[in-house]
Amino acid sequence: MSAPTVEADRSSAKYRTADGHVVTLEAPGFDVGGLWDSTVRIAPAKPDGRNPDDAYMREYNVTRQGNYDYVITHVLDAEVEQVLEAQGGQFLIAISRRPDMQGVALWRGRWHEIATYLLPSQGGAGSTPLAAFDGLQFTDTPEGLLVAAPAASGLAVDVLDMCTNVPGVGEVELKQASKALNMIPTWSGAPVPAGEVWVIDATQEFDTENHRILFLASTSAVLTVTPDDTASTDLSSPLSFLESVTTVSWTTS
Amino acid sequence: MTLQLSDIPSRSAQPAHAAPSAVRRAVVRQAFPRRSVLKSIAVAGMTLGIASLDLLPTGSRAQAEPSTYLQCSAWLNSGTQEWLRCNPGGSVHGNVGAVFCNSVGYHRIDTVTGEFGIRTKFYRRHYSCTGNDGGRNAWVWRKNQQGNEPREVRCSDGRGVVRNRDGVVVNRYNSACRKWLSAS
Repeated sequence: MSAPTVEADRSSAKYRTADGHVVTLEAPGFDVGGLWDSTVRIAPAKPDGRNPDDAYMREYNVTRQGNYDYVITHVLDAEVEQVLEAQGGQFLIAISRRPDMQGVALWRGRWHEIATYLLPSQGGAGSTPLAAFDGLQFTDTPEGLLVAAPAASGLAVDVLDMCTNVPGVGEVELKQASKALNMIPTWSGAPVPAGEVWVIDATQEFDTENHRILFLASTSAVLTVTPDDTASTDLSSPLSFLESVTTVSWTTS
Repeated sequence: MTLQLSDIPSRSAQPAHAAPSAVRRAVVRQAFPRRSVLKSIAVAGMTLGIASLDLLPTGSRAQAEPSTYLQCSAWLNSGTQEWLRCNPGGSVHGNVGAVFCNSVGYHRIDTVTGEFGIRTKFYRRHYSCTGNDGGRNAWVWRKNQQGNEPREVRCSDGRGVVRNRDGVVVNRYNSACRKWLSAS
């Protein structure tokens, strides 16, 4: 998502998630005011007990307005084939020129956009790629894009994460602590001002070096740092970042 | 105070004589007040019942090994094309392609320089394939020798972070490396 214009100090960021929560990250001395994005899952609000509920899951990516222009042009080798004005913004459908690549459908607001990848069959004649947005209502604000699913739709909006890249540190991913409880060990981590820190062995079966990522839990959010070089034995910058974090929160208001 | 890597406990192996996590206790207290615990027990019982139905062998599904992707069993029977196995339901876990793989068929973690000084740094996403349960970067679909099954495939998640020549992040996107594991 776009950096907040009200924040002159880029060491602090505050965003509103698609389901209306407020995510705050403050890390004096580090730039957390860059480009953010968020994973949103839309699924049935109630299990029906007859089918695996995940069969009806669909995931979306909320990010700054215009982010998908680069993806459409340079990653998917696609071009926009449909544009439809709706809900104060635009629906766009882009189809890849290559049969081995996907298309993308997105709603673009004034500040943000929400996108989901399309299956190849959804890009052909007679297909309905906009069905991916059925039953969803969008309200774009400078603080974030709100996604609502009216009760009649039978759907629920669930925000899985908020992510950004902190220069000199690496990828930073936040989740709501209550939804990530099984990621938090029962034993104590190293104390830092915002909570406790653990190290995670992220070495893959083919890796010849050990790879590590770092994990911080506060009382309302968890934060994972994937360093720019996970195999480095010098993680001083990611560690300094975790020590500098004064606030990492995921709250209802 | 300077945080040292050697001072940080592992998240996967409990140190001897470790104290309980105060943060975890606070999260539990805030998220699950005592009044709601009894309700939760009732809901959990229903959920376990439903989940157990999914564990029944159906005879026609392939198996996800060694880990599980949250949606595997749901979309495998949908008759979609094979390559979609790395991207169920338009998931943001995929923009699927071999271009995102390293030489051994997992998501790349290098940096690519393109036109006009644009640089794309790739990262692995270590836990995306199993949601919040501390899973893995990759997941594998294998045949179970029943019926007309598609090729075996491994999917590995990652992300591209694009910087301009000044080093400013101008774009982010999610990606999935797809590695075929069988010829047919």
